Amino acid sequence: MIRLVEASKRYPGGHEALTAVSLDISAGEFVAVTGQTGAGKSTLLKLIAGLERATSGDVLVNGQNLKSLGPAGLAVLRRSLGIVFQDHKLLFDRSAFDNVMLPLEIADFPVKEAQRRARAALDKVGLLAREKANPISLSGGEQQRLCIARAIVSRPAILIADEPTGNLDADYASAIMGLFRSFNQVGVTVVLSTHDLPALATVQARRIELKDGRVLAGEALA
Amino acid sequence: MKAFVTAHRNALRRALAQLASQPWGSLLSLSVLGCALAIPLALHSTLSSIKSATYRMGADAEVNVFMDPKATLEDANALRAKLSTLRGVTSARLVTKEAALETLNKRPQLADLMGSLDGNPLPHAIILKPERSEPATLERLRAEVNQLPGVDRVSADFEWLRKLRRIVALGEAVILAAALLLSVAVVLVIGNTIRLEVLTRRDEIAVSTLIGASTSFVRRPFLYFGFLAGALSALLGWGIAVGGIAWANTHLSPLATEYGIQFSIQLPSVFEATAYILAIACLALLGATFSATTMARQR
Ligand SMILES: Nc1ncnc2c1ncn2[C@@H]1O[C@H](COP(=O)(O)OP(=O)(O)OP(=O)(O)O)[C@@H](O)[C@H]1O
Ligand SMILES: [Mg+2]
Repeated sequence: MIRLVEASKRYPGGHEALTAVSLDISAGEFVAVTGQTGAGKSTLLKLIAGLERATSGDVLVNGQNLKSLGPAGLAVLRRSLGIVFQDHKLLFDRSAFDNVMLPLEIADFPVKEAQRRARAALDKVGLLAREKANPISLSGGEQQRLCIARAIVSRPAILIADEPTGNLDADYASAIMGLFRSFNQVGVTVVLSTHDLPALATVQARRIELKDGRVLAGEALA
Repeated sequence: MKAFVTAHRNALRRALAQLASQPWGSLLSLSVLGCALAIPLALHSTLSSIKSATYRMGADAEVNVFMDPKATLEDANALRAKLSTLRGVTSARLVTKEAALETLNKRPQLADLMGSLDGNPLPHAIILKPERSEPATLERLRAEVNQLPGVDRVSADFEWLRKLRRIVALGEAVILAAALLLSVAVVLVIGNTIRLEVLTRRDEIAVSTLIGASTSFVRRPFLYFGFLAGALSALLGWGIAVGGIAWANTHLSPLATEYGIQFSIQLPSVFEATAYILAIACLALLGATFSATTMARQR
């Protein structure tokens, strides 16, 4: 479902954030990318989501080589994914509900159906009672869950989450991990990054550890 | 097809929400544009009313043919018959020198003068009703009749009409220039409004793009916004022009009546109003397209 072949990424003017990364993720897997800060976790997820292009090597998602996709093709790819951003990227000029509506508007869903789905997504992350709230008035954990609701609302087959347990306390973090596990159990492929090993320990996940932009040998089940 | 309709319906809804999100700000800038747009429309209506009035006046035009004082009544009858067959002449009426004198005698102010005359100094006259009243046609007719034997003088003094029509033509040129300038202004003003709108929505645009919005999805509501803003300001402009014309008419009509003329400024027809609003909305759409496309390219 997702395959990287010798993929490297060098940011303009920067050093190499990823070096010759090769990996395979099959449909229905739960994968956790771990590593210290600056190891290249976000970069790896961005390559998969088509938010950054590999400097060399290949990235394939659903059998499509992202190298061959133009901006329009990448947009189509991103619409088919659920993405949870490390910095949330919520819009503070509208309600929680309208934030969750955004992907459905982009996918040109009929309004009624979109509203039904947005409520269902908010309900799944336990935020239905706060649908009218402005995200700015939500706690860090609630913002994180809102972000997850926005990522799952269009029912993607692949969910990509960058540090979804970011600055949350342990209980909250394992609750979020549990949420991802439940999505995975209904068949969604989950790829998340974290350096929160205790929270990761609460779910069964395949671990891909990065160090200085390289995949450490000896991947193991955490 | 269904997806296409949904996409456009959603974009329209987002554009309307955009307009409604700052109703007073929107209304204010639309009114400014509307005021400017009212001017050429009101001037156009005024001018075309003047134009049709001058044609109405021209329709009453007569050409007076004065014969040689020595011409006899037979000569006069022969000339009248000849003139009535002339191309461009609807009718020719003979006013004999006797009839003319009679008319003059009836005027009390002239009684003294008439009494002092011995004999009738007046010539036979023939009054022509021309088919058309354009100054050029009248001039041609005048020249043609003037050359006929027995004709002393032809009076077809339509110089004032010619001048009035020239002023109308000048006015039309001025309105055309103003309309062209305003068209450019609509493109620029709406383009700038859209540019500001894109700037205030840049977070939304950035996030939408990250989660897979296409360029056309991002652009579409701005295009609707531009089209609607253009149509609304044109509608306002039409309202202002109609109000202004109605107000001007309450002052104009009594004045015209004093001069014995029927005159009022005609309101633009439904067709004119629709065409005007559509044209301005399309110009606004052009400005919005230009602006949204350049902004999308800059990101
Ligand atoms: N847009 C960018 N331009 C230049 N350098 C970048 C950019 N994004 C990341 N980097 C660099 O690439 C390297 C990897 O960054 P990345 O964000 O992938 O790390 P990370 O593992 O996600 O770290 P963290 O745990 O702090 O989120 C870092 O050295 C970072 O400074
Ligand atoms: Mg990161």
